Amino acid sequence: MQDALLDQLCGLARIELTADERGDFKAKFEGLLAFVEQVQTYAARETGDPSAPPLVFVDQLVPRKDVAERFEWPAGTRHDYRVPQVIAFSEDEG
Amino acid sequence: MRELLARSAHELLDAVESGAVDPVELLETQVEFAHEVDGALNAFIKIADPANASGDWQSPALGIPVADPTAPRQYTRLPYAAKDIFATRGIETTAGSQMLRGYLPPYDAHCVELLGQAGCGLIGKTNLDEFAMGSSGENSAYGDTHNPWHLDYVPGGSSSGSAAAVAALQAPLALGTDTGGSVRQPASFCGIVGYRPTYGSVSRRGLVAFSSSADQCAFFTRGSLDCALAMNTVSHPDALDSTCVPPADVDYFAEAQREVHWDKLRVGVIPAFMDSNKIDAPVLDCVKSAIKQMTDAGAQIVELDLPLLELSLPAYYIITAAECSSNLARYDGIRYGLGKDVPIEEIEGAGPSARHGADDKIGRGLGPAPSKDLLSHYISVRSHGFGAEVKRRILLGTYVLSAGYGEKYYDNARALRRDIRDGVMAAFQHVDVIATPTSPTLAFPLGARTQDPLKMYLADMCTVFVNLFGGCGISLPCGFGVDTRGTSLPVGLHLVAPPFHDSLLLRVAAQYESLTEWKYEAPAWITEKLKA
Repeated sequence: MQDALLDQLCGLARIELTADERGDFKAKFEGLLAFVEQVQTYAARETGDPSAPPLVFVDQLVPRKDVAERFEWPAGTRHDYRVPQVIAFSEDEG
Repeated sequence: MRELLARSAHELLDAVESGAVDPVELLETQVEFAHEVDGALNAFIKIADPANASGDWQSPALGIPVADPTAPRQYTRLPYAAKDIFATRGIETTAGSQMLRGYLPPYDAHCVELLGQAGCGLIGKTNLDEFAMGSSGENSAYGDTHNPWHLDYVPGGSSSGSAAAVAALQAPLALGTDTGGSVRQPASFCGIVGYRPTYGSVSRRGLVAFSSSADQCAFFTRGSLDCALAMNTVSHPDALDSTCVPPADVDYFAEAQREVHWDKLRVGVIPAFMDSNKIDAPVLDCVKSAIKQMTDAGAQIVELDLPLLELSLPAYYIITAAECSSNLARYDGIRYGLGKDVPIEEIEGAGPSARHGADDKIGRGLGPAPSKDLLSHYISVRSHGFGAEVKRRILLGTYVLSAGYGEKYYDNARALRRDIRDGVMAAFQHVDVIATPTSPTLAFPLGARTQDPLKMYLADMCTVFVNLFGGCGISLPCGFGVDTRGTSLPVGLHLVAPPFHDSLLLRVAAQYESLTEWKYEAPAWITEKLKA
């Protein structure tokens, strides 16, 4: 398992691993991936094409361009941003 | 009073309803005994105070008769234990993790609420694998649980403490959760009954979520009629769980007592789960004997061809890891638990992985570091709060949901789950129940598999398909097998029925219990303690 991939996963999961944890995790993660990889035998069975190329890991999506549009509230609209109390957790609340 | 603790729940209910036993005194005796034996088992994370067992923790309805005497017989006015993953108002609920240390839920889980309304008393919160991830009871931040039959063996998991508590007569009923076999497998290892109701027949409100599409509230008892009693109490609609759609007007206890016409019962057998290359010989011998008892009684055996079940384990681990990485993203140390209720510095050096060899430094080794900003606070709390197995599953889930890999893993696993469900439901056109071993092995010694997560995952090979197709399953004691060390350990028979056929499953289970000579008797050291 590449360090860059592990770093990326840890970043996404908001987890930091120590050096000991990294070594342990990399060793065991290879086994886990081989294990879950078995679902590909099902995909090949479904598509009937065992040689279907594996999908490529995409590390970022291409951002779409923002579209700005000005919105005018109808005249006389009242804005009330207070959040209503939906659940009273105890008798002295809500 | 102490000798009553060896009785089944429905026998205790008879005694309470006849007025021969005071339910509050029964609870106090049960709590006292639970304290006495828990030093050897570590089945509980918290037990009610013996000096105040019927006090602060309990519902105001404790010991009060249920108002409607014409309602179906229910689990009422009896003590019970709950896995520490069920929210209990004002009582610390940790999910076996440092992450939730100090967390006091502001509400009760639906099951806990209903049992409280039925006058039942809570004995304590039981130990578990952290966030219900594990198959041995060795992933808890609060220490390993021990198997009451042999204290140096695992009790199974993830509902390890609930299983050990019922087997050791610390409780007549314990609540657990079953996401892939977390009630049935430990029931098999501890020689008791573990029942996983149909997904949606019991509310999941108030369960700390692991994998929302597979999690289910489930029960441990010492007989299947007691599971039926519990179902009558907790299988009710809940407006706050949209997946909870229990059938109306089912009296599970009455149904479970109806006779089975064995000559009309068709029992499905899956050859892959009866293969001596995959299932240990002592387990296979016991399960084959149990099936023979049913055929001797007249049942018809039908071999089922379900090849996709071989892929159910990887599909299960993809789906549940994906859901776990999403569900556990909420633990950020801002609103509850570690980082809010308890400072990170307090847990340094502790943790679920701090016991077995090379894992000593896994999970807790970062040392407290002051958080400079919000992101570093999140990272610090999550890195210290989660144990090694939870981190592994979060990272696996993050991986299988990553852009590009989502289709390869997660979508394939979901499609596979759909086809497994279709295949199993088609099989139920030809059989009434399916019989398999509950676990491919006997219980194993503590520490034997902690270094090999894949071997640990195989413990669920016969049970996960039930969670994938959303049906119901029960593990029943069917004998004892001897392992390679010469230790005699319990074996479980696993029966499975289609979704919402729980009453049929409990009925077949109860009738099987009347066929077999395997009646629950506690380990000798427990019985001696009871007499002391």
